Amino acid sequence: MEFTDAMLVAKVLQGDEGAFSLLVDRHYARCLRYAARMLGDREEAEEAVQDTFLRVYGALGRYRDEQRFAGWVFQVLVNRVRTYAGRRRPLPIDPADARLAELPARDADPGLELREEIARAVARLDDDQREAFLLKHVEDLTYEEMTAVTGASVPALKMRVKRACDRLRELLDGEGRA
Amino acid sequence: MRDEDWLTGVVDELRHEVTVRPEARARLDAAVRAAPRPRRGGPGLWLIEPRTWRLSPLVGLAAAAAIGAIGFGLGTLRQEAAPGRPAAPAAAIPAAFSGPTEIVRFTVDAPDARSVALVGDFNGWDPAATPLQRVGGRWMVALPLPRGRHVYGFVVDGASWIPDPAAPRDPGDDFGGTNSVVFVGGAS
Repeated sequence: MEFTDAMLVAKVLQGDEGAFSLLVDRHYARCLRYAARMLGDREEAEEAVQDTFLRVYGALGRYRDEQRFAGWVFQVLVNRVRTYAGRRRPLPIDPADARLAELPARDADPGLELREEIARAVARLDDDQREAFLLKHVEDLTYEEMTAVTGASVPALKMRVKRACDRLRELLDGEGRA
Repeated sequence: MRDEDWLTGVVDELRHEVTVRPEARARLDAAVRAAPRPRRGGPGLWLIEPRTWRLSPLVGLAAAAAIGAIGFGLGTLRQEAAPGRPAAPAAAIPAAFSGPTEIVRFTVDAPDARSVALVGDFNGWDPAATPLQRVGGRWMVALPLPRGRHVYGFVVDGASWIPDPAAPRDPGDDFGGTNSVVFVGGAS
């Protein structure tokens, strides 16, 4: 039987520390992907994700079963990433930037060039547009979850996502991508 | 290329996962092992509900109407420091406090609530530790708090955790500013 996230939370609260490690296993990679796309820097992304899970761990007693655990984690993650983004230099948009070059998962991947091109375009988006675009299209949050996570209204979020899409298309077309 | 196809292509690329480095994952596990164990009722908060409580004391009537629709009413919440003059039922003095304290009174207008509890960093966020007592349609409690900054909230009917709309929010709250802050003794 596979434990649901809520069951694992209950086990952690009963003293089973290993259950939290299972929760982290389930959600770490996705959180790291979001943080990395937002911050453009692996080490900062890892710090933000670690900070997030530590805060989630401390607050676990307040998790309610009917919530989607991933959405709950993302609420903390988005705040942490905003904090890190607020105290750092601009996102790397130079393809030679070492911080950006570290991000792809597979160095020998034939799609690497395209992925880097897209990552550079995403890095050029305004912070709120990039945040809304990634949460909606890459992380699959609903607009209601995004409202809770970002504090912005649904119409505002839809506008940010649309503008992000328009801007991305403009940037990628400008780099020769049809 | 159609917009949907274009978007799908971009999103597919962005969904490639970033490699998880074992050393980073191990650091997290070690940090968790060193952290205090979580317990039910600990600090933190949930996703949706607290945002419905962003109301001003000036719109107490409208708030009461809206709240009544979901089973309980909350109008103006008020918290005030009243050194030496407990004007509400006094809660037990937390044994762990040392140094100077001041009596702080918390009042809540919640005529339809069945119970209201005060939770904060001063009582371990325990909803059973500091219940408010009903006086008419208002709930009250007074308790001594050490001087300084405290973070708190109210638990209504044992389930709904709300901030105090009449008090500043805690900017350090990760869960959407759902706790309130009180400064006792003029601390900053």
